[in-house]
Amino acid sequence: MSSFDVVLLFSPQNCSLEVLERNLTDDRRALAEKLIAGIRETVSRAASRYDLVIGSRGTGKTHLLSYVEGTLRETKNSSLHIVRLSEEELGITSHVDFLVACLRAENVAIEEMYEELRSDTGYEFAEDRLSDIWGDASTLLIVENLASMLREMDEIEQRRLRGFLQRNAHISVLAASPTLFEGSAKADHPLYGFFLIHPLDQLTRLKARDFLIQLAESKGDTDFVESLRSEKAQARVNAVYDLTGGNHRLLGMLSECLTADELKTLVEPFVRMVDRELTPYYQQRLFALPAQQAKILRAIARNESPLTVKEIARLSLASEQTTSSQLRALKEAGLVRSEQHGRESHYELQEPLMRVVLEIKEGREKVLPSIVALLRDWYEAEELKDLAQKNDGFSRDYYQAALSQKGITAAATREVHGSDPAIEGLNYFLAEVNQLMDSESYEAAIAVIDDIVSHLPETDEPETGAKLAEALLHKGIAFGKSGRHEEALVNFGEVAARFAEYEMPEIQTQVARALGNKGVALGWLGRNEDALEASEDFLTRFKENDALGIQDVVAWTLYNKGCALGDLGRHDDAVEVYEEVLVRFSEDEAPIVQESVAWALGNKGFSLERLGRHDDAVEAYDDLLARFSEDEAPNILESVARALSNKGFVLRDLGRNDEAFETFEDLAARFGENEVPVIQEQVAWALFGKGTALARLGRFEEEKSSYDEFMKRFGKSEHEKLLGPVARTIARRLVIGAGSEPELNKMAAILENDDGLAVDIFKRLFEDLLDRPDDLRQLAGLKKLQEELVIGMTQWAQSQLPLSKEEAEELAEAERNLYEAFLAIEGAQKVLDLFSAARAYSLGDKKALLRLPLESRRLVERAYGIGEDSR
Amino acid sequence: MPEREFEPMKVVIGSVNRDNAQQSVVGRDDMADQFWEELRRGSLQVLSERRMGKTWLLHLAQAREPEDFVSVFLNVEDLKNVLDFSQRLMDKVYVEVPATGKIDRLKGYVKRRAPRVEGQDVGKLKIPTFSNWKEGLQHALTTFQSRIGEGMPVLILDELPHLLDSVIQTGRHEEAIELLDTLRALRQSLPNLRMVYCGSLGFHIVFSKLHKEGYTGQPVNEMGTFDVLPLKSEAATQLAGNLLLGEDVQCTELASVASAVGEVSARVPFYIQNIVHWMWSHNEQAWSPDAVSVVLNGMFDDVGDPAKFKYYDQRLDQHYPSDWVEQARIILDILSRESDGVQIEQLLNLVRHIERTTSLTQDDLLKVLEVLREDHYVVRQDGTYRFKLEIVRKWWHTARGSIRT
Repeated sequence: MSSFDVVLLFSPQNCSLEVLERNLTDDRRALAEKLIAGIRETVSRAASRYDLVIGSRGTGKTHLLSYVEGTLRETKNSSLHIVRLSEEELGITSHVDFLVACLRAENVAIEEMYEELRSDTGYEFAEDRLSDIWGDASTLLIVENLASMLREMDEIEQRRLRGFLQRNAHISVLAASPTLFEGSAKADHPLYGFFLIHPLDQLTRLKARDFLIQLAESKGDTDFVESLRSEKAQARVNAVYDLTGGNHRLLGMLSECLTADELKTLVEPFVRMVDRELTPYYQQRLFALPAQQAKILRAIARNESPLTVKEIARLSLASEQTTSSQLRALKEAGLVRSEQHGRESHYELQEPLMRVVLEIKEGREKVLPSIVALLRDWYEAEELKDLAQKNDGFSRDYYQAALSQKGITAAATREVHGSDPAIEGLNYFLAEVNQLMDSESYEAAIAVIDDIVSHLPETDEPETGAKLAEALLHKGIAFGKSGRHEEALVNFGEVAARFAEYEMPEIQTQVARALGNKGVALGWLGRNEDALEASEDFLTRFKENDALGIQDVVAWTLYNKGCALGDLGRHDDAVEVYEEVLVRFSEDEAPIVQESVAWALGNKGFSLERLGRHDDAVEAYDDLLARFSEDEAPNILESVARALSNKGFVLRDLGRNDEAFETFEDLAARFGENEVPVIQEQVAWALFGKGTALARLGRFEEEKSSYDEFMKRFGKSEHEKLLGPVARTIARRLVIGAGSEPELNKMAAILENDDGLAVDIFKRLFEDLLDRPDDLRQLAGLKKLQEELVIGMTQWAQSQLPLSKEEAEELAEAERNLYEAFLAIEGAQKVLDLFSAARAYSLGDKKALLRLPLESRRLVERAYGIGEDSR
Repeated sequence: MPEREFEPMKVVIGSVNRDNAQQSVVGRDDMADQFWEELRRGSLQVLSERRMGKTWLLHLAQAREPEDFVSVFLNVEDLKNVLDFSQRLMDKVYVEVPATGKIDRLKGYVKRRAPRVEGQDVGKLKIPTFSNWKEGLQHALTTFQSRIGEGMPVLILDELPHLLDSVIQTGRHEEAIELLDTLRALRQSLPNLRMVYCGSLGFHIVFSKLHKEGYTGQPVNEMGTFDVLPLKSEAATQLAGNLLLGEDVQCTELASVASAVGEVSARVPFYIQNIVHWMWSHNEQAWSPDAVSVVLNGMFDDVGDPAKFKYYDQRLDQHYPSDWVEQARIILDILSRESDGVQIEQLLNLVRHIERTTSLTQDDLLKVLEVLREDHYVVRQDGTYRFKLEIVRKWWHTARGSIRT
């Protein structure tokens, strides 16, 4: 690096004002002008201000401060007195130390004052000395590394500093710091709200390019300026950007390496620069770290991708608690940064170039991965081949390593198609998309994909096409996962249509996934016929396709086909399809395929139940349990829980109540502690089911205990998935006399919003009641239940009756009459008698009505359109 | 203090209806009457945050309904789709505004059942497919108008923004848009019809989500706004005094204690109720006006948060865009410490004192502040920003404590 660069980048305070001004970016210039104007105003108004510029190392704080200082000093006829404390001012641990530093800056001979300064009132003495020097003149103190300075001061010293500044209203402060000072956010900190904060941001990718152009222009390097304006330049700037994190200083340091003729090597000057300039730059900071922090930093540096606290703790053999507190310190020191993804923070190096230095320290002879990554992104494949051939020694090793990373060996004879810089850019952004999808930030992922697509030029290049197809597919999946199924559908259709003619296997995989997902989206939208058609279309095209990844899609598309058939009521066909999934994919170990197998088995059981083949349904559930009971994957856990629940109810309905009870107990034992809502739902059903099975076994006390347990766990839940089991359990509790008015009210509130559930509950309730006539008496005292019974019964009755125009009129009349009649009937017993007789009649028991009193019989006959009254 | 008469009232923590509103709602009679006057001019949006008593006010308004209005009240917060909304509306209208003729009644009966059973096989017959939810809505409101003849039908939709937000969150933006547009079209085609949209979740949040999807409509721009503000000082004192008397809370001097309760509660009826309830449950010795000031500390510490202050914190996560949630919290944390308000420059600077928001620009800050204002968290007064309700500011400061960095 030239001496000019070294000075500008590391000691800007030693540059001329003209150089500083020329190398200011626009946003820094605007801030500088604002600060200058503000400070000048303090002079004219005899006031003060306290500014704090915050920015990571290398973002140009010193440059900015030096420019402001230089400009102010050059202001003619200014009475502003400027004092700059040097950046390396060490050993300030108190207010008096700070004042002594000011005195030193004024060339005062401190040695003669030690005794006074050392006393308890030393700071007052120092303040007086400064007052003698500065008088009432407007004074600007320029302080670097404010956070470090304040960290060494305790609260009392900080208060003294603040008090000093407040008492001397002619003194202003312009400070800089890589981070906010500790406790800055706490309202009781002595300096809370004291400074006006000005953040300095890292450069963006586009601005990084502008910055390098500006730097080159200021050095008069026109060749470099031109190369930075070329088409390839942004891709190269991106490659370097990733290593520097947009840091001004580091970009500046690398800029010399970036000037290159076509074949000028990058490795040697880069390694030299790293060795001579970067290493001392970072070593100083690393050596100052406590051992534990240094260990943690190395652990992070060894990984290119960000790490969680847990992972870092594991890698650095420390506890999570220790690691967490050390990470906080490292963050405050500006060495690491964190980003929240979901519930966890992920940490990475603030300056990726530090990784290069650490790599060097750990193994000088090895090829450094960071440099290989830079070369891989910087050069095209052909260039790397050429450079590898033209160089020897460690340079050749680097070029070959970079070439290998591009997937092409130096000895390869086949044509190198040469990677489009767009592909490298796409890979980068697709990795970002994957990260966003993993953390469920679907909106952000869609925004990034739209950005990718809008910036891609039209091209027939297969490689670009493959990436574009992948990006668009991700977009569709992001839509689907955020519930936007219509948009997902459009997206998948677009991918399938746009890329149908490409033969490249990678693209065909994306097309297959798009078609498979299209069926899923249609299923979500309730368009089962269309979903079926889409599945069949896919299977026609891809069922026997062995290309990588396609059979995974075949597995879950077959499963989805089964779902669509089931939703259409074609359970026979659905069972057949699920069996095909089992036959084809039982032995496939891929996790996503195993999920499809598990769900297919579960749904097979469900369809068999609908076909009345209950024994076969139990067998299907048992098969699922045998295969997947030990599997911990979340989706498979859910299917196991559902299978247990469904099996339990089937067994109960088959009268195999002992087995039903065992099954429900098994579910509750396995999943009782699982907090996932869909699994909690199954646990709730299990507790309810267990109770009903116990009732059928005549174990009434245990039945009651089961419901008590249920209510304890789920009684207060408002989660929509649990409302069904809660309502049913309360209904049962009411029947057995264990319920209460508040529970009844809760059930009524749930049923009010769900007609289907209400009807269903009362149907089952009365089916159960018919088996337990002793319990009917329990209902007499619950007036509200009586009212609900009426509504439930009429709805049930109405659902059983045909509805022609004439019959609808009569039904309206009948409903009115029935309701009025029911209100007049005393005691729930009679109501229930009427109901059960009506139901029995509808099921074919023609003598059922004879059990009713005449008045009630007439009502039912009229409602059914039978007997004399109906004619 | 002028002589004041209090009438004993019991604390009601829950809802009222139009039948008991007159007895339970204090200090809102004028506002209720004003509501009807404004409604004569056109449909309204009733705006306020939760706890301000807007639902109670609406029920009181219904109880004081002029003869030429007929109103129907629907709370739609729990609904998740427009079909259910349409169904509930039809159920309400057909039941509360009953038909007189048998045929009319039957038609209503069938219409109500239709969306649930259409297309199904029942016995030998197939129930015909009826029209979609829009026609159901239209039929219901047209029927509403026709059944009351010359009167003005009023449809009060409580927590409509929640319904819209639920629909949007399931990805059905078009449905939300269609509902708003359909309701607007109905207002235009039935000129006597009045709609009242109420919600504690601001329409601005719903509309910002719809705008992101490209919706440019203005579905409420012809609707006036009706703000439900805290009670006037006198009314707050009256309510507090009535409740203190009704609940037998011992006071050194009823009127002055009632006045203190009114002030400490920020004159919000819900908080007045809760404070009196708390005082009743801590009735060991007579309450003085000074002692009332410590009630809030006790309430804030109460297990279970009976006054539901946590709602102010939790709703940020539920309804705000994810990238604004943290910024909104930080802003509110800062404002909670400054009872006199903060100027924008100072606020920006204090926000920047927190590491996560050091780089926030003034534009971004103003955007979040605007949403907080529309959401009734914050007001701008005399050039400063501050919490709208002092009681909420105190809770926030107590609950959130110092900012976690």
